[in-house]
Order: sequence, then structure tokens, then C-alpha cells
Amino acid sequence: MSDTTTETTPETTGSAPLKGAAGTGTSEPLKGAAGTVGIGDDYDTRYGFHDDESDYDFKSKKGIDHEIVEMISRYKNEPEWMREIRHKALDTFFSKPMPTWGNTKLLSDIDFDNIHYYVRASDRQSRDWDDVPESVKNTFEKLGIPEAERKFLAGVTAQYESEVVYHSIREDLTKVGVIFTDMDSALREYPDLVKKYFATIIPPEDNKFASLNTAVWSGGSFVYVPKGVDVKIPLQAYFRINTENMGQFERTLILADEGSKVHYIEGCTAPTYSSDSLHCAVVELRAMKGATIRYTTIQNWSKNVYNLVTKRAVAEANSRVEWIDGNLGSKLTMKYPAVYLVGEGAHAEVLSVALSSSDQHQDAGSKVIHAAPNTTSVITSKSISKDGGRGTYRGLVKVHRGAKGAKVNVKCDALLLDAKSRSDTYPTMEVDEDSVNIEHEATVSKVGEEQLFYLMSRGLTEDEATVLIVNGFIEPFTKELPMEYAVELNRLVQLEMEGAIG
Amino acid sequence: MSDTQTSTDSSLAAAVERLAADDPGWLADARRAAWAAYESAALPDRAQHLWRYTDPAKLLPGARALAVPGDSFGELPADYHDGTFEHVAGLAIERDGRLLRAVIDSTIADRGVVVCDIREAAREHEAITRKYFLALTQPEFDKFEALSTALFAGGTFVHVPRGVELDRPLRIAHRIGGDGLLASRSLIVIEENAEATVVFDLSTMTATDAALLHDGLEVHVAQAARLRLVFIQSAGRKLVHAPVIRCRVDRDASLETVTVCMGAGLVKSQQTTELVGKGASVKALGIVFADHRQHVDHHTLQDHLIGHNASDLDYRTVVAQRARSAYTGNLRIGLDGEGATAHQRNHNLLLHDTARADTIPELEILTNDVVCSHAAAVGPLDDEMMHFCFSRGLSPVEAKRLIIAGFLEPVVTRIPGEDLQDRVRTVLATRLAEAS
Repeated sequence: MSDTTTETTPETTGSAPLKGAAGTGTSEPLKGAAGTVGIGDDYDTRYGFHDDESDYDFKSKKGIDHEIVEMISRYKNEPEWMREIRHKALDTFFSKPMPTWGNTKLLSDIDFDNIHYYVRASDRQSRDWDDVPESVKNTFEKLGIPEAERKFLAGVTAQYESEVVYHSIREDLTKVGVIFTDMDSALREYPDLVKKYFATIIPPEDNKFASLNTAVWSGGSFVYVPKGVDVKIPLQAYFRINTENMGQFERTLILADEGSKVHYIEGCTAPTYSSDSLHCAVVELRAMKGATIRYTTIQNWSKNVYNLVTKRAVAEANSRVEWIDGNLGSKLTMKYPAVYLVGEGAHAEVLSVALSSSDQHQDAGSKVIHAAPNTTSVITSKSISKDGGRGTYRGLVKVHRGAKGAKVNVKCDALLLDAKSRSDTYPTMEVDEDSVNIEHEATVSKVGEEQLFYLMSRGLTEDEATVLIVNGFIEPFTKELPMEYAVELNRLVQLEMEGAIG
Repeated sequence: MSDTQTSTDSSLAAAVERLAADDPGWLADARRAAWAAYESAALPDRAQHLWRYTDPAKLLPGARALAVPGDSFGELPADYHDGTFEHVAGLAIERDGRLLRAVIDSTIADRGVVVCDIREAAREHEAITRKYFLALTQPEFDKFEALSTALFAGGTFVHVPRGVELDRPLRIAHRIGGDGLLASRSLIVIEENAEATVVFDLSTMTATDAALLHDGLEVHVAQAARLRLVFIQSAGRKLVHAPVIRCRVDRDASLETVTVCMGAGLVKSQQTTELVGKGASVKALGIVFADHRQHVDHHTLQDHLIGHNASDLDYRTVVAQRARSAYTGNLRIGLDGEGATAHQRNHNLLLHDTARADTIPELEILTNDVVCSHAAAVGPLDDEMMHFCFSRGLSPVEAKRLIIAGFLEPVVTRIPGEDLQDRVRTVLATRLAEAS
């Protein structure tokens, strides 16, 4: 009857999809009704295409074993310690059972033997768009990445299949010591930093999918922001899966040194296939004293992607970690971005929106551990379910003894657009300390008839009114996004809502 | 350990046969089936929220033998002495899970109200007991419900016929003694348009009785019937208490439960309510007061199988010293639950930094035309209220007691009978005084 949650919760999480970030079509927020573009149609044209793979550099056979792990490690010419971690993690992956909680039915459908664990399209990484192989370049151009970079980003990483194919960072940031590179390069160029922090926040044994990631990871971002540096405009990573039955396992590590500030944005899409792909990322953040990290994800995988991601941050004294998490795509997402508040006065903020449509289950939430005095956290979750989709909020707030003066506020709202859709809320609060303030609230409702009536009396159609209400419902989320993203998200939601009523 | 387990299990198996010998055939069969279910069921999975905070192994008989129920009750609580039916419709006395005697107002008996031991009912009122006994439990026989079904020594049976309205409560005083395994099963059936209030008042013979009590209760509230069900538990600190309460509320019927949990060392309580008709109304109120090393774990489920009805739950918890409270609750609205309104609240006050409160208020909503909410809070006493009291000249200790009493009072006032309310207030006040 009750589901499970937490401590043992694998935090799988999703990665992010950014959707075409950029400035593609500025939408008119309220259009809705007239359009006849179906949801699937739009995804297929905009993101669902796939490229020819004939000139691929390398594609591993399907399935996973020590041979594949060895091959990946050799290919990357890695230090011995990393090779060992990978093999050990693979053993852990094999030995750990699948989760017995969450959507076990969908999870049991994952065929780990039917997945390519390592695929690379190109044998080199470029710092110049002109050097990126033509087909890959076209892909990212269709997705609007270069345009976004020019417009409003401080740095971009583009990952295609298993490897980062393009990477850039503004020179002024490099000059002040900001490192923004892909994880593989970081391992070569900053071996000490990587060795010191790699897998310290999410150990390889953390959960089955983190073990798998540790064994076969490839790509992802490495960010280091030196003391006191404020990176004023966002860094961005874009992840693209192209191959069918692909497994993408990027690994991201962000270190914000004392008093620094950084905003990292990730997005992702994949072609629409009839068989499943797997995305298991591991993302580790460390906000040192007084630092601020904001990590924004717009997940828009196609509906054949399992998105099982582990994301966790450690927040030192007076630091601030914000997870801004939008889940629109994927078949099944299990993602619970976590913050461990280990220093006095640290603050965690998790703000998420999940849109579940037909054949989708967004099982998302958050996990905040208060392990120091006067730490605070705010969790806001908005979920919208339609066309038989299922949205689940699953969260843990734990206050350890001694975390005096901790304050927690959790708010979950769910909007159900039709009678077939489903919403679950599984919050867990464990409090071991008396001088704390924990509040949790959740509501579930349909679109209010009074609100609809009011808007329709002002001349809006029912579809338009619904879109407006839904946009208002997720407003706390969109207002935290950079403008281009907010516009894009509104447009996406609007597309998803088309024909929702009826 | 495993040797003990085996020998206990074989003696329990013999006990099942012994008990079955005195029961009508259908009940004997049910016992044997339950025993088989108990033996084959695995321990509940601790990955499930329901068992996250309490180790189910602690509810196994272990080395405990099945106790023979006692025959004496000791002194009745003062508020039961009256002997008249001015304030109550009936009084029943239960010892170790078996009803010793029951007296009800003759005017009510004349209208067909029955209060007797469940095993007697199985013989004397077979049609009705066969219809309802285990009707709410078998499909999801949890291991411990199977245990209580296989081994119950007795229990209370209450039947209020169609249209009969009781204007005074039925009180059932239940005392537990010794340190053995005890099991009981009770059944309450309130027929169409009938109305009743039933109070279960559970305590131990002495403060040191360390029995393990598995008691099951099934409650049927038929169309347009009304039932208020009150549980006051003030047992000694050694008792292990594992009640499983399953309720079914039909069209236009109403059920209000009031749970006051103050005693026992370990409590693992499950209370589920199915709303199976439109217009049904379910209210569940609870007070948990735990101190010293008490471990108290409550689970509730309000299951709206049909919509256009309402449920409202409010559990208030106070935890002091090294005590620990866990609350897991679920509001479920099924596919046919359109038009349901459901609310759930769990507020926890922690009086010491060694106290612990865990809360998991869940929602599972499968359709959209609903209004659902839940809220949970954990914290110390509200600063503003404390300051207000100080400004009126109260000392910190007085202020604290006043605020906590005020926090619990809305539930206390739902207990029928001034005398019972006062008894609960007195126990709470004494415990508060110790804790603050």
C-alpha cells in the first residue's frame, strides 16, 4: 500500500534536457487552440530525428561486462585508479538488486543486455563549430545550441552519444581561473582535483544506477569556480542521444570554491525510437563556504528513454544550492536531486516541475539532509498529469540531532487534467531534533472550474484558458529560468496542453 | 533462537487446533487457513513505508507462549461504577482478548442490539458473523492479521440492527495481564440507518505486564448509519500492542474514529477505511502522547473506492524524552473516486531534542475531479504563543502545559462522556507535568 522512499532510494535522476534552448520560436504564450500540431508530431520534427551513423568512429557491442569496461578505460587512456573504480563499480552493479519500490513494472522492462554502453561519433573534440563533424553539427544547429551560446551563455558543452564533441568557454572566465570542460579532459588535465572529489558525494555503491554510471561513465561536465569568482551568465551542457538502444552515462562534477557563484544549465533530447534507451547520469556538486550553485535541468528526452539519474550536492557553511528541475520527457524518470546541508547556515532550494503525459511516469522529488545548525530548505514541486500520465512526488527531509534551528518548507501541488491521469505524493519527514520547524503541504486538484469560467467569460476558449491556468500554476518555476528558457518552457507546455481538454 | 521459534510455532499450531475444536466448522476452517497463511507469509518488507520505522520481527511471538486468558478483571475504573444506564447504553468487560461479561440497557436489548464475545456470536448469530467476519481482511491478510485470526481467544461482537439509534455510548473495558502472546478479534456491524458510539478502553492489569497483543477489529457501517468509535489506550509501558482496524463505510454513512494513544512500550497500529458509497463521511482524529522510551507507530489509509464523499484526518502527536513517533498515512482516490474530498493532517510537537518524530503523509490520486490536501508539521512549541502566555504572566512551564493541552483539546472533546474526557485530560496532564 504505501510505497517506499528514500534512504535507500536510489536516486536516480534524470538528466537534463534542455530543450532547444534557445531562442527558437518565440512563442506566443497563448495560442493553443488553433494549432493542430499533435504532441508526438512536434517532438519528432523538432527533436525526434536521428542522424546516419555510418561514419561513426566506434560503437560497442550490446550488453555490459568487464571487457566493455576495460575497453572504455583503455580507449580513454585513463589512470589506473579510475580503471579500478570502474571494474569495482561494475561488480557492485551486478550484485545490487533492482529497486523494489517505485514503478517496478517499468523498471523490470529494462533490458540491460540490449544497450550500447559506449558509442562515439567522432574521434576528437572541437573548440570550434567548424571542426565538428557535419552531421553532428547539423543536429546541434537544429537544436539551437550555437545560437544559444552566442546569445546568452558563458560556456557550452555538447555531448553526442558517449562523448563531448564540442566545448567552449569565454576567455574572460578562463583568465580568472574558471575551469569548464568535459569530464574526460578534466581527468587528464586536472587529475588531482578530479581524484580528490570524484565519487565522494555519490559513492559508487550508492545505488544500482550510480554503480552502473561509475563503471561505464563517459562525458559530462567538470566545473571549477575559484574563490570569490561570480560567473554571471550560465554555463550550459546539452546532451543528445542519437543511436537506438543507447545508454548515456555522463558524469558531472561541479566545485564552487568559497564565496563563488555559478549557474549551470543542462538540457537533453533524443530521437524517438520504438525500443528503449537508458540514461543514467551521476551529478555531484560541492558548494564550499559561502558559495552558490544553481543547477537547472530541462529534461525533454523522447518517450523511449529511461531516465534514472543520481544528483546530489554537499553544501558547506553559508552556502546555497539550488536545483531547478523541469521534467517533460522520458518514459520513466526517477530523479531526486539531493542536498546534504553539512555546514551551519547552508540553504537548499529545490524547485521542480513535472509534466506527465500518456505513457509517461515522472517519479521525481528531492532529498534534503539537515546535518548542521540553522540550515534551511525550501522544496516546491509542481506536477501536471494528463492523458493517463502519472506524476509522483517522492521526497525525504531528514533533520539530524544537533541541527538546531533547522527550517524546512515543502510544498507539493499537483494538477490533474483528466480522469485517467494519476498523481502520487510520497513525502517522508524524519526529525531527530526538537528545535526545528518543518512544514509540509500538498494539494491535488483539477483545473478549477471557477477559474476556467472566469477566463472564458473574458473571451478565451477553454483550451486557451487551460493553458493560461497551467502556465500560472508553474509560474514559480518558470520565473526562475533564464528568459529564453522560460519562453521555451511555456511554449512546450502549451504544445503539450493542446487538445488536453475535450 | 530458531529452536525456540520452532518449538513455539509447534505449540502455537497445537493451540490453533485446540481453539478450533470449540468453534463452529466454518470458523475452525478460517483459523486453520489463517494459520497456514501466517506460516507461509514472509515478514513484511521494510522497504515499504508501512514498515519503515518499526521492525516487524518485534511483533513475532518469539519465545512467548500463547497465554491462557485470565478470568478476573480487577477493579473497574471509577467511571464504570455507576451501574445504571443513565450515561451508557451498555458495559462490557474484556480480559486478555476475551469478553468476560456484557450488560446492556434492556430497552436496547429489546430492540435487538447484541454485545457478546465473538466466538459466542459465531455460534449464536451465525448468519451475521459469517457474513461479516474477515470480510475486510482476507485478500490482503497481512502476516500479523493472519496470526490474530488463527489464535484469537475471543473479542467483542457488537451488532446494532437497522434503524436502532443508541443515544448513549457502549463502553468496552479491556485489560491485559501477564507476558504471553494474546490475540483477539472483534467485529462491529452497524446496520442501515442505525447509530452508535463504541468506546474501547484498553489498559493493563499492572504497569509491568509485558504481553504481546495482536488484536484485529472489523467495522461495517451500512448505508446511512452513523458510528463513533473511540480507542483509549493507557496500558503499562511493557505492553507490545499491534492493532489492525479495518473499516468499511457505505453510502451516506458516517464514521468518526477518535484514537487516544498514551501507553504501551511499542505500538504498531494500522487503521484502514474504505469509502464504498457516495455521501459517505469519514473523520479520523488522533492523539499520540509518547515519552521515555515509547515507540509508537500509526498507519492510516483512507481509501475512496467511490467518490462524491469526504474524509478528513487529523493526528496530533506529542513526543517527549527519548520517545519516538512514526506516522504513515495514505489518502487514496481510486479510478471511480471522482468528486471525493479528502484531507489529512499530522502535526508533531517535539518536547526534547532526544525525541523523534517521523511522518509520511501520502497521496495516491487516480482521477482528477477531486479536492485533496495533506499537511504535516514537526517542531517545538510555537514561540509566539509562548511569548503571548509570558506576557500574560504565565511561567514557561505553565505556558508550555497550557499550549500543549490546547493543542490536544480539540480531539479530547470528541470523546463521549465528561468522565472519560476528564480521565484522559488527567493522564495527559500528569504525563505533561513529568515531561516539562
